[in-house]
Amino acid sequence: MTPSESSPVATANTGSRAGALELRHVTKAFATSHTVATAVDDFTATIEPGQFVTLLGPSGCGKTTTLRMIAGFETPTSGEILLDGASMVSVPPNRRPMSMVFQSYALFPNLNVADNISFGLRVKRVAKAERIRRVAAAMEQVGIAEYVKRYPHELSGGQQQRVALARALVMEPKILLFDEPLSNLDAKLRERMRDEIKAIQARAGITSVFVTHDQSEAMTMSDVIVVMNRGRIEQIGAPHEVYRRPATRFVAAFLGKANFVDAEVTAVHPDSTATVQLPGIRLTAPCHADVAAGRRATVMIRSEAVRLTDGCGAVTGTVTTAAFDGAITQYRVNTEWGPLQVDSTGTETPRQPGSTIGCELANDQVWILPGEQA
Amino acid sequence: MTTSTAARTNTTQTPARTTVARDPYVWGVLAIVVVAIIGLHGLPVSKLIAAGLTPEGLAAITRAFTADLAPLWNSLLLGLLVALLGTVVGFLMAYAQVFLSFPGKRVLHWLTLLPMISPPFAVATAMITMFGRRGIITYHLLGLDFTLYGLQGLVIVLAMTFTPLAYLNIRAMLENMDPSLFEAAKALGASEAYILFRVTLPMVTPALLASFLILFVEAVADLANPLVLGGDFRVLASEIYFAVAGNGNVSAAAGLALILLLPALGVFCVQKYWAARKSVVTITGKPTGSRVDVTDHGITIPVLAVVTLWTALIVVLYGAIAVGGVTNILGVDNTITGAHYEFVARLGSTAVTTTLWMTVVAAPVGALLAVLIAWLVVRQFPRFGRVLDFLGMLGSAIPGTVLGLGFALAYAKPTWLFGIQILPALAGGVSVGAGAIAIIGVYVARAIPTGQQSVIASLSQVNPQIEEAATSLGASVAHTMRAVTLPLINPAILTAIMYGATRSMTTITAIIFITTPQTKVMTSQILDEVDAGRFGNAFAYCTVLIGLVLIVLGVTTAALRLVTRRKSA
Ligand SMILES: Nc1ncnc2c1ncn2[C@@H]1O[C@H](COP(=O)(O)OP(=O)(O)OP(=O)(O)O)[C@@H](O)[C@H]1O
Ligand SMILES: [Mg+2]
Repeated sequence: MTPSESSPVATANTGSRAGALELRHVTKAFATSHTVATAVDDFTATIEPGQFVTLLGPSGCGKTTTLRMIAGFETPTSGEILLDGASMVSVPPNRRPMSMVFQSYALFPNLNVADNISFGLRVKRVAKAERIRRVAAAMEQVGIAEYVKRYPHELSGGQQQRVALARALVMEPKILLFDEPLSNLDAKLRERMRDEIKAIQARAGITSVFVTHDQSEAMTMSDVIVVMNRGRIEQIGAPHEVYRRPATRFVAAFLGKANFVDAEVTAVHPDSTATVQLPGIRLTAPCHADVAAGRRATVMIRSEAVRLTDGCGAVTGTVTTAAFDGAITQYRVNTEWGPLQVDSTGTETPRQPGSTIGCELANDQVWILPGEQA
Repeated sequence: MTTSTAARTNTTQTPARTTVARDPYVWGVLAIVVVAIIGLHGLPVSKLIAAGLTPEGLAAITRAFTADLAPLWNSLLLGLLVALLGTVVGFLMAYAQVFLSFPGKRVLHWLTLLPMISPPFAVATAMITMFGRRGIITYHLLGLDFTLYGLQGLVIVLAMTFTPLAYLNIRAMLENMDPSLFEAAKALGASEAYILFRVTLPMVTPALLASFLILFVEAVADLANPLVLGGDFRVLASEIYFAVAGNGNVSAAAGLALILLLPALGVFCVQKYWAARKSVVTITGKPTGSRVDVTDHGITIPVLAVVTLWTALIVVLYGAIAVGGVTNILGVDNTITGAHYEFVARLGSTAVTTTLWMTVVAAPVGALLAVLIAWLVVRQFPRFGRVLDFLGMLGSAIPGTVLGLGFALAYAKPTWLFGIQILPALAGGVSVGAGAIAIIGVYVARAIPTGQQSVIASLSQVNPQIEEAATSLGASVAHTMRAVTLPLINPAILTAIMYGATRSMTTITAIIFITTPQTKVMTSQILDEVDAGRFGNAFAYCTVLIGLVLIVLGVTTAALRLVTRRKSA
């Protein structure tokens, strides 16, 4: 992800399918009846051609607003949006070479599947023969070829979703935009569609921006995840980066299960590790660049980084609850560091609540963050 | 790749009001709507105000409040009585329809609505025939010496004419009340009477109030019935008419019209912005549970008694219209004759065709404007839209008498703007189209409000993402509107056409000042026949007109069925 310096030639990349998208200091404030609410605050990111980027964050953090600004349904209060180096801000949404897949699918209820998919091609006055070919190809691609003549209300949720996807794909857009397209599907189907969308996107190689508040969706599908909170970007990175090396405590807590323990930093080492003093133990683990010796730090311990032993471990504690969940067993353990959440891939015998156990840490799954300013 | 904090200063600048730069098409639509509203409401009302504020107009206003108080006082009295009677009856009809079970409920519904689709003189003329001084029932059957002319007749006739409005309003609210509310009240041990007075009535109070206000304004503004039934009972509306028709004193008429206009606008605002907000009924979501009929005889017997009496009256009156058209002089010489229909066929056929073609032009134009206004209000200008919505609704807020007089004032002469003549004369016999254009204008103005309401309701239900999907696929604003939005709100558009057509075909009050000898309209032909005492001809006309309205309703309903069936199939 290298920031592409804006090229003045708008048509530079039009030959290639996938577009390069760049957002610079994009801010959106809505004037509500009483106040001005900043929905997106100084959003800067570069998306490389062909990348699958996810905007992830809690409800109301500005994901949809960002996506709608890219699509052109909202105008940024300030900032620039560039596609292949050309400014998009003054281009109306229907002239942007992007297609959007909506949460509600937004199929045209009065048109059948084939007409829904060919709608955009008709608008572009694509010749009939080519139109038919492309519609057929798109339907083949998403596996709905047998429903040509059906109307949207005669399709299941998953089928409607595929039509919506085909309708966007058939336009051969430079950018595909998705706003929580899977949230109306049940868990099983969601997983299947997730894999399919990812596969189709990878095959077509279309740059995609995908909005979700589901972290596992984001982790499994994305090349890059943009974690947002209250309109601001918390972190941009590959899934394993944001998961294992979160930039902030918010990101750590939002993705996966994490325990946080306050500590004093005793030393920072040149290999990006630091030693911290925890109650009863000194611990050396990878650390964030802003961690400094002598300052407070927050130690992030993933729930799966803890192993329960009969010995002493890093810290000892008492099991308060144990919940067997098939693949893992979820424990809560009261320790000197406070309560710990532990996910144990339980091949060992289950621990009973009340039993005393030791907690061992896998140090490379521990991450030291700068402490919250006190 | 990190977030930057460099451009933070930008966040404090005031945000743009608009979210997306608007397409020129939107401005084009706005321009059409604004021009239409200026032409249909702005110009007529401002000319009326100007005429009303001349010395002559002011003198008429002063007189109405001092030397000659009777018309003002009579209008107020009439308005209050009609509003009271109409609201009470409307409530009882609605209550019976929603909460009681009895045979013939559907039929009752259509009978209740009948006065709404019939010409204004139908009820009045039938009333005179059946209940007047020489009326079949009052004189021949009961031997009473009873006169309808004056307040008593007007109250009954106007209440009959406008009760459907109250009925529809109140029934909609009763039907939207959540049945679980009544179940809850019952579970708490409340009797049915207790529920009626402590739950039902308080909850429909906004609808009752709104109906009362609407009926008051309609009754005060009505011109047709006082002309036929008023006798010595002078009201403001008829004074306006006589000022024009009798003395040719347009300024005095305009002054009196202003007296009508102000309270009407006040009532409109109260009704639209206050009563609507007070509504306690949840209108979202399907009500849960099903309604259990009220069976307490203490309630059912009085309610059904009133309902039966009222329905009987409607049946008698419309029976008289039907029979009166084929008898020589109903009640005096009851021999069957085809003379009245022959008269209508001979002298009235031009009026029938003129009325029809003007309706066929006006109703779709009104519906189109309603659609454009609704589209701007719901989709394009969420804030400023309230103003547009208000302006469109003025067509029903301005009393018909006032609007008609305004049209006469505004369009009897050519319209000039900055020294350039932009429009020829549109109203009056010597104008372009012999007055038809002005009449169509009034029809359109009166057709917009109901259409606008139904289209706004329908458009608000359409998920905006569907339109955004079209935009995202490259469709322009105009293309999206045409190919996506309009097909989705088809039923509301047809409903708008249906209301517009009905209103156009039955209106007289609003066009009485702009009809011309060259452009014969059925309603004014009926007035001529009633004036001349040829009731048989009037009855025949009325029957034909009711038949035509029913045909129009039938055709649009069938079209509506077809459209909705295709969509759900
Ligand atoms: N048209 C609008 N007017 C005023 N405020 C708005 C508007 N649209 C969004 N907002 C506000 O902007 C903020 C971000 O909204 P947005 O829809 O982008 O959130 P989101 O991250 O997509 O949330 P969710 O996951 O719930 O969809 C919210 O606080 C919202 O209330
Ligand atoms: Mg959202």
